[in-house]
Amino acid sequence: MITPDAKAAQPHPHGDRSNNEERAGQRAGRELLFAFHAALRALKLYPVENQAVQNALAELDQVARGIAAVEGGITLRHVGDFFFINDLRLRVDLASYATFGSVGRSLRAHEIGQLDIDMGVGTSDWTTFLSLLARDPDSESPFTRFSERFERSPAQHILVSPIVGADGVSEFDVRQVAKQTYAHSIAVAREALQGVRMGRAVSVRRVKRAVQQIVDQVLNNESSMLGMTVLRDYDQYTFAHSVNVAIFSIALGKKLALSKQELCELGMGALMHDIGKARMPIELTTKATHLEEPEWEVVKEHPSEGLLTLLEMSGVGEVPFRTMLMAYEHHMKIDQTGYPRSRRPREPTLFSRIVAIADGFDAATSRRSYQAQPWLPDAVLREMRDNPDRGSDPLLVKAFISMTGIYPVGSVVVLDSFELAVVVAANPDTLSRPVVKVIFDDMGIPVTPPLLLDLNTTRPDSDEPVRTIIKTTDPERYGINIKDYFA
Amino acid sequence: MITGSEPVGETVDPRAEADEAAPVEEVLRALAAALRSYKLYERSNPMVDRFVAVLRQKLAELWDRTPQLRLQIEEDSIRWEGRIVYPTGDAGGELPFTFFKDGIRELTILPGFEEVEVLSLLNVLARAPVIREEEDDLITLLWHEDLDKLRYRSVEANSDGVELFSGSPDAAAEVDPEEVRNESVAPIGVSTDDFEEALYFLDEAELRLLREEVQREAERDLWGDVLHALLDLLEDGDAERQSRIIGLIGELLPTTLATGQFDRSASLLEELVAIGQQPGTLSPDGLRQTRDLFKILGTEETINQLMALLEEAPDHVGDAAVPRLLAFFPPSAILPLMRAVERTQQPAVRRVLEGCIQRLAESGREEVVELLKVDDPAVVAGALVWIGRLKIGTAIKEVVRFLKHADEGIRVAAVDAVVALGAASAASGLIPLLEDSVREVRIATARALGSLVYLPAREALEGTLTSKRMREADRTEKLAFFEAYGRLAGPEGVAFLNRILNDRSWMGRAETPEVRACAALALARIRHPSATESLNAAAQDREPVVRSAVARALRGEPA
Repeated sequence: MITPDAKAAQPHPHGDRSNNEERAGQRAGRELLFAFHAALRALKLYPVENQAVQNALAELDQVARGIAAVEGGITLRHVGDFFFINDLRLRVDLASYATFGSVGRSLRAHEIGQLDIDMGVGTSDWTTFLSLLARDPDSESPFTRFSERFERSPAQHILVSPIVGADGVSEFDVRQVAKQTYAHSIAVAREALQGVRMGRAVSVRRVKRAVQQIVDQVLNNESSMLGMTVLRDYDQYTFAHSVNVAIFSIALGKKLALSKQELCELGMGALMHDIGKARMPIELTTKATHLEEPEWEVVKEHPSEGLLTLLEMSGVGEVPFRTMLMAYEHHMKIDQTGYPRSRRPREPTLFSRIVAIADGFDAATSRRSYQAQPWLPDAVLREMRDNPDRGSDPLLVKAFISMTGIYPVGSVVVLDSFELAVVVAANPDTLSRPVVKVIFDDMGIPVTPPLLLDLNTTRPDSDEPVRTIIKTTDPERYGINIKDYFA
Repeated sequence: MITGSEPVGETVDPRAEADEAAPVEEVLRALAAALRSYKLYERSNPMVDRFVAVLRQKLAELWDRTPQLRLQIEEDSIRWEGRIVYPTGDAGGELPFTFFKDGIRELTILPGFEEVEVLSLLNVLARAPVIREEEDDLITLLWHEDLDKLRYRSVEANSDGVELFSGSPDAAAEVDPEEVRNESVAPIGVSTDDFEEALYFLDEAELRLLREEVQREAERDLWGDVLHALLDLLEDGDAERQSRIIGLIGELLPTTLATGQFDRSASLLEELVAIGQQPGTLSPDGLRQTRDLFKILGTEETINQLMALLEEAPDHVGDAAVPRLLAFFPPSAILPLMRAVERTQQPAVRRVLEGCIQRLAESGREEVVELLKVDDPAVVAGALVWIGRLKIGTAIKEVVRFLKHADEGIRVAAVDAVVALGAASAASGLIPLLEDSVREVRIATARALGSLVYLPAREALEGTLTSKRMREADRTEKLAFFEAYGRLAGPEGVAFLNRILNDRSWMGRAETPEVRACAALALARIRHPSATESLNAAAQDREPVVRSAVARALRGEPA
């Protein structure tokens, strides 16, 4: 049986639907689409009075009524290249691909994304609907025109809805929302990665929702969200790293003027870029010390495992290909000297190259497995810029630095006043003059509360900047925990 | 003016409070009613317009009293300023839960919302009951709607267990100022580049390059990227991974086909074959799985789907990738292909499929002979045709068996196959078919015997040519029989034909003009002086039909 509507709000149905139900649902759905296709085809070939048409419509009516009686109604949705009947995604196989494709094209031509069929449906409803579907779509407003015609018809038991798709945004609060978003995203990343490790289904919708929130936060409150990235800790590193890579990637994508929809896609791939690690032995991915060569060879398989995991997780459709490629290509390097090695011609996608930079930056600045001592943020940027062996896309690195500033958020700097400060936000117009919080005065006394200074401002009595950064320093040298200033 | 705040210590008049809440209650009741109408009626229904108009009016009136409307969402109620404003009166209770179940806990509506965005919200809410787990929820849908005048606050489930660091700067110890000064004197790690911001700003050319990159990314062939990755991994993977990848390719292939990506499908299969042929690359299991995949490709269902696709989109038929794709069908596909050929109404599709059958038959002769066992006359007839075309002489015994088959199409195909095989030894089996009940079988048999020059049939043909049945046969059949006789009898048949052409009975009766004309054309086949002499004798015949046939025969023109 196809899962009824009432279950729509329950956890991922792939996990709890029995095999028998799944098979029966697939069979029923397939019968419906085949009958739909046959009736539509007959109507295109012959006049409606023709016996072949009548037989095909009767067959469709019978199949639809049968499903509606069990399910209490039918929602047939066409999403991308896939069909869903109620909440069951119909499997396309070699015995059905052309039929499914044909029905899909017919609906798409009129920009119809969904049909809601109630239990009272009858042959006359189908005749009206399919006759309109068989017509050429309106060139300017296919759905509107179809909908107008259909609404004027006597058909009462089929509702049509358009294909959904658009950008959108929402925003509510500042720091607390950023923290909430960050914590929730870590939970979602953890759920996804642990789910894969345990062989459980992953809710792509939950990942998408988390990424949408990150996109909102980066679009509206970028510095707060970038500030969250310093809150990672060793125990949660794997999950926090995924979220950090998503934040940095989305912020860089914003710099490149990607649309919200593209940022969402970029964020999905970034959040799941290391999903292949969930298939690696946990003792290797969490090993505190240096990896031996054979161990390293195993860990290097995680991008390949990431691609396969995402493909297996969803079949085709739920997870976009670009997301899978970000998981696969993020260690390839611009000159293809990374891993996995490609036998066939390949240029990593723009999104993969973005994720590679975000991944490299966050990993280098973190205390984590295989790295007891993190690099200073500005040193990482310099390394990415200057060391071609890193294999970063130089243009994107430049764009990344123009986003983070020369002293990224979380950097501890020594000012020309001999005060110590922590960078809390970049100044887009003056990359070497970020916004800082002065945390120790020139006597080494903590400044409480920290003094917020925009280094781009000048002294009231001259054109000299209020302070200038002399250099960056290692916060551990002074026992500074930079998280204190972002929590 | 509704302020939402009360002076401390003042007594609040419950009636005044109720009056203040009344406009908010009216807005929410109007929202619920409009939503109900959205669910019940078509969008074009005037009832919907009426309810939406009321909602718009109530909202517009509200902005005279408050700059915004902030609502707290609970499971079964909505609060404003701490008071329950929905449900009130006879309103139903569904509205709060619609928001609540997906985690929305606060809504803020701003002036102007009633102009356009109210319709977006109603659309989203009307869809909410049918939203599915894999796709979206109310929040992801609202995100897509990009509403400026509606804001929401939501809670997320399952962020439990994530403890973010919550330290305090107060905990910081003092630092040694001398150390800071000393470090600053020797600024290791500082580059003058750090202050050369121009190094980091993107110039116009770089920005253009990046814009082009973004554009290229949008148009990128991601299918190709993913499939190349899978093929790379297939070549480098161990047995377990190879098995997973071939399984995945098997799942991806129907989609590439369904979306008309024949070139991609063909390339994928070509790559699979190439990898399979590299010694030691695929594991035994991988090879078996690959073979199974190709077997599925040749099943009737798959071929029917492909045919449906080609028939529906005739443009695909001319796609050069289609023959490449068909080249991967296994010999077992001959049967479903033959059935498909029988069914298709489109000559172009038939040609493509026949090309495929020919290739398969050439490489799978045994499969063609095996088709003779299929209980489908169209398939057996097709197989007989291909046995003839491919000259599969080893099948002659089976072919002869079908000369007596009940189906006339099969008998004709068997006769043609005997001819194509040049199997004179089997020709004796043809003679009885000269008297077959079906005209097409008789004609095919006569032509076959002529073509095989099977002399033992001469006597049987002579008997038929002078029979009453032949006089009543149509011209095509007569001609087939006479020409066959001419071809196999040679000069020895001139006397027989001359009698028919030129002789009369003692009472002066001759054969019918049509029979005589056919005899003349049969004589033309013999190409012997005696035949020419016979024809010359009839050159001035008084029957125009005979004269014309004789003239053509003498000129060597075809019948």
